[in-house]
Amino acid sequence: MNSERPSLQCRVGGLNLRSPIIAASGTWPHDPSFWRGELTAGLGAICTKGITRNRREGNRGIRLWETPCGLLNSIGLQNSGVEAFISGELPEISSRDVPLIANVAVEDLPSLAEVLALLASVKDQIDAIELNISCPNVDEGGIAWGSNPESTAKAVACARSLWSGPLWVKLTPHACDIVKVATNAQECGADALVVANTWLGMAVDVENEIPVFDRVVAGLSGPAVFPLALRLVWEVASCVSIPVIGCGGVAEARDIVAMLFAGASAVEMGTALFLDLNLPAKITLILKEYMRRHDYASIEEMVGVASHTGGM
Amino acid sequence: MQSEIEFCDEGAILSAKEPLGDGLAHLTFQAPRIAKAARPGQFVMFYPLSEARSHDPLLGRPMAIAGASGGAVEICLSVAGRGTEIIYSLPIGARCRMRGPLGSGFSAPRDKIMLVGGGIGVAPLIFAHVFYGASASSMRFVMGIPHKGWGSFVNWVGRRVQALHVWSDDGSIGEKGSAVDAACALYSGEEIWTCGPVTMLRSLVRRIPDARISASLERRMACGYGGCHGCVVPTANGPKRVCRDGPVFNAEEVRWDEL
Repeated sequence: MNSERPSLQCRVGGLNLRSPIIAASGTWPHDPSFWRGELTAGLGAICTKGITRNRREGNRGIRLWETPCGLLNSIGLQNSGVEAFISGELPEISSRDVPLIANVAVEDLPSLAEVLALLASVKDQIDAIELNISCPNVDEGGIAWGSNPESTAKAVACARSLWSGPLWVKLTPHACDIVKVATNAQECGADALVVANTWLGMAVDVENEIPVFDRVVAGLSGPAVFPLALRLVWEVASCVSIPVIGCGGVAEARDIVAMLFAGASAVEMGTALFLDLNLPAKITLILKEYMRRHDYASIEEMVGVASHTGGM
Repeated sequence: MQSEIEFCDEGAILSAKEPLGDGLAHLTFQAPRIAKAARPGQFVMFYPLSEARSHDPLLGRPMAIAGASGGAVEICLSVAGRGTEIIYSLPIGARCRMRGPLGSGFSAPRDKIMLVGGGIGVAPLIFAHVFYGASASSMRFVMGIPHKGWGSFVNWVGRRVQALHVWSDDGSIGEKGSAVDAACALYSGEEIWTCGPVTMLRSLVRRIPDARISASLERRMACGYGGCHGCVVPTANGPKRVCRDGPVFNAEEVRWDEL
């Protein structure tokens, strides 16, 4: 399908993708009827909504708040739990024509081990695991698993021991030392790093004089965070040998080019899908046109171009 | 509540705009695919630009479909913030986008229906009334408004709806009282379809506890297609997405105290 030049095919973290655009976790239509042909045009893969050991109802109160060029969300990992995912959702969505990345939220290590053991039993239906290490580690006072290199290593090593397929690790931008977190994830067996997740923000309801969100803080996504994500991608990509997947505010073809140039091998797109579900298909056309104009035959040729020349 | 209809992202051209006073307006957009598939109770996510180039405001705005025929989708607008202000000021011919039709609609009526709308909440009920035209004579339409500033809007609704009962908070148009007061006064055992502010819906459910009520709910939304789980409401069966599991809910299922 992409045999003509330029080709959008790319190999990322153990997967061959037809396009470098991946739908980020929790942004694609949840219902299986939408994981099919026409709608998935332009996408290389789709990440599922975050999966946990048990069903979670998610957060109470307001869950969304629009900000200038951004979106704060406080969903709280609402999902039906791994067993319901395997029996109720996976059979429907895994038979579709786009690779499926199962996003697994790290709550605690015993739960993580159970989730991965269960997912390993349906390994042939899952193309990769994406480990979300932005969740609080209750044993360490609620700080995110991915905040420090040591807990990152524990979570990734646990996942690696139970999942033999492609393992992607989605870093939090709030890591104290993201380079050390990234290298630890690599050393513990990650096949790719997704950089990054939402940035913690806050909103206040000034009429009612209270925080908007019940949990006060919420994750910021959207074009507002793109330059922040780009910087992290550049920083991480220069320090690891495994592929980096840029994630944060990607909304246009030029954002993808910038991410690739900064060192990403592919990108995830999330909030932008809320604006236009046809965006991946539209963007791939513009991306190809750019590649022709700049004489790039493949995505791989573009990776790290700007970081190598010191142009960053 | 109704069988699933596929949605699409479609370009929409503003073909008619009728300001109705007090920040209210009736807007008509040419969007043939959405118009053809739309059913009463469904909604669109509306984006005031033809391409997602400007990102402020970032998100679409959920708008109930107030009518759909001949390739056109109608909405009723009440200016509430920056997003709706931008939509209100669009010129005729403006190229916009819509995602839709989204969500479940009202199930086809089996018996007599009383439609109870609070303010701009009448929008999906107007579509229901017009769409189920054959049985519309058995559909009484109750509308609550704040004051006579809504006079032009009331006249506009009156041109589409027979058997319109208008009540106003200050008594300046129709009888004095809220939409809920009106519904209580007129209720005679029929099924109720309703849309309006949550406080109104909650009050209606409490004051007519034995009625079979289908309520169309509104929440902040990001995607409109059931992806982000940002618009959930508490129900007896756990949190449910207004955009995908609703917006029309059986009132018995909703946990009104927690809403």
